Amino acid sequence: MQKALDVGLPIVAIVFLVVGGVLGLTVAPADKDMGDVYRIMYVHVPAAWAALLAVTVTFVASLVYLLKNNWHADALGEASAEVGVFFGALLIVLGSIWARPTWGVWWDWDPRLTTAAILLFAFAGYLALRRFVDDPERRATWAAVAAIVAYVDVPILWFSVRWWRTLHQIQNTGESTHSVMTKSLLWNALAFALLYVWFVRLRYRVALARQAEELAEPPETEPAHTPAP
Amino acid sequence: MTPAGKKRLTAVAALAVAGAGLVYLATGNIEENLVYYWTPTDLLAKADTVKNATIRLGGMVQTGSKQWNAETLSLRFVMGETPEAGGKTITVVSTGAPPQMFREGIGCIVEGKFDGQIFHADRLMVKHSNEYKPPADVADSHQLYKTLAPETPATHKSGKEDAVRAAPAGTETTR
Amino acid sequence: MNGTIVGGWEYIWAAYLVTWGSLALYALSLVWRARKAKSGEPQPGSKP
Repeated sequence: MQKALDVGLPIVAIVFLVVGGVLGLTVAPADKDMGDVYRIMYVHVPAAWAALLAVTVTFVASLVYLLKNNWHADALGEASAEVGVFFGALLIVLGSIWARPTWGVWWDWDPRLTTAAILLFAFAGYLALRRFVDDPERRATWAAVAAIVAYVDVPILWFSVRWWRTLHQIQNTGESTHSVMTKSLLWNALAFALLYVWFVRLRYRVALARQAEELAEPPETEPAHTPAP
Repeated sequence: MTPAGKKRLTAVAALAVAGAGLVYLATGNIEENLVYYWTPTDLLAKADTVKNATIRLGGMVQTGSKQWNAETLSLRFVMGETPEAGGKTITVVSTGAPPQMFREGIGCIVEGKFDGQIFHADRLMVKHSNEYKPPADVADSHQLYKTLAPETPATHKSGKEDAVRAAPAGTETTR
Repeated sequence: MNGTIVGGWEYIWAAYLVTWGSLALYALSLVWRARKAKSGEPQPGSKP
């Protein structure tokens, strides 16, 4: 089962990405205002969803770690956060490329863009925190707290376009989007979701191996001068 | 307290902090302090307090108000709350070609200074709605591309046409 | 300036190339790191 997933996931993900690319770049019609440029949506929106999925998994894993004292949850939180930062950075770069020809600027500090930047920096900070704390127990606890607090930004980011005046448009719906465009977007979203699962599985293994390594280390390498909180 | 119990307490505390932060944002009047742009109504109400400040103004480009001069690269239009006349409006002047999506009836945000009469914009951004639809009159995207493509090289020519088209639309111009 | 964007394929290609390129590089880095974690591990047999 593991082996089949290891080989099958990337293949299926790439097939979806290719189909999604063909749909988004050639089959889907151009937009009445944005012409062809709107086709960037087919990678920008899936990147956003993948990033939100990733930090949601980290949020849940952090809760599970703290509530159940489960070390696998700590590894999953770390893995998903890194993949989330990757998709978050991709999201912002793609958004910027899309913004230039449509809005006329690469960037502006509107509430949506600002909360997206905060999300990226918060979870990059989470990863940095993990690197700076040597004691596994303390690292896992602090990182989990940081992830839970940082996750507050997600509902704010999601509703920012409805709560405040923004340059960014609100979420498109099946109603506001042509059906072929919606289908193309869903293919691409599925491709990104599969890529997310593939990435997290790989990164999770790296995290587990590190945990095992830390446990194998002799205990005197642990810093003894800092009292437990 | 056991280490596991301590962690559980930490989880509850972190959730409480996160929840309180969210409730504060959702219910507090942060909206007052976090206004990304002012509408013409907002700006006219506060016009004398922002004489030399750089501010953002957002609204809709009023129908029939766009005047583009391709020679001097100056753009002039009226920003309203709605695309149609009625309600408060402010005349905006900016330099340089606006983004291609700029047209009458579209949402627009400008950054610059308001002297009480005219808003002098240094930065112009065009808003897009959440509607993604192919053009109604042309079903096939490739056909659309072909019909529009010949116009591309002649950007400043079509700009002139715009200026000519806008002129008889009835808005007074000081130029 | 008639309200519709004409062309702009350079932005579209830039976006897709950034997407494909960064996905490929990140995937490679993950495969490499996961492989190293597996082979370099003494496997003490104990789960943390």
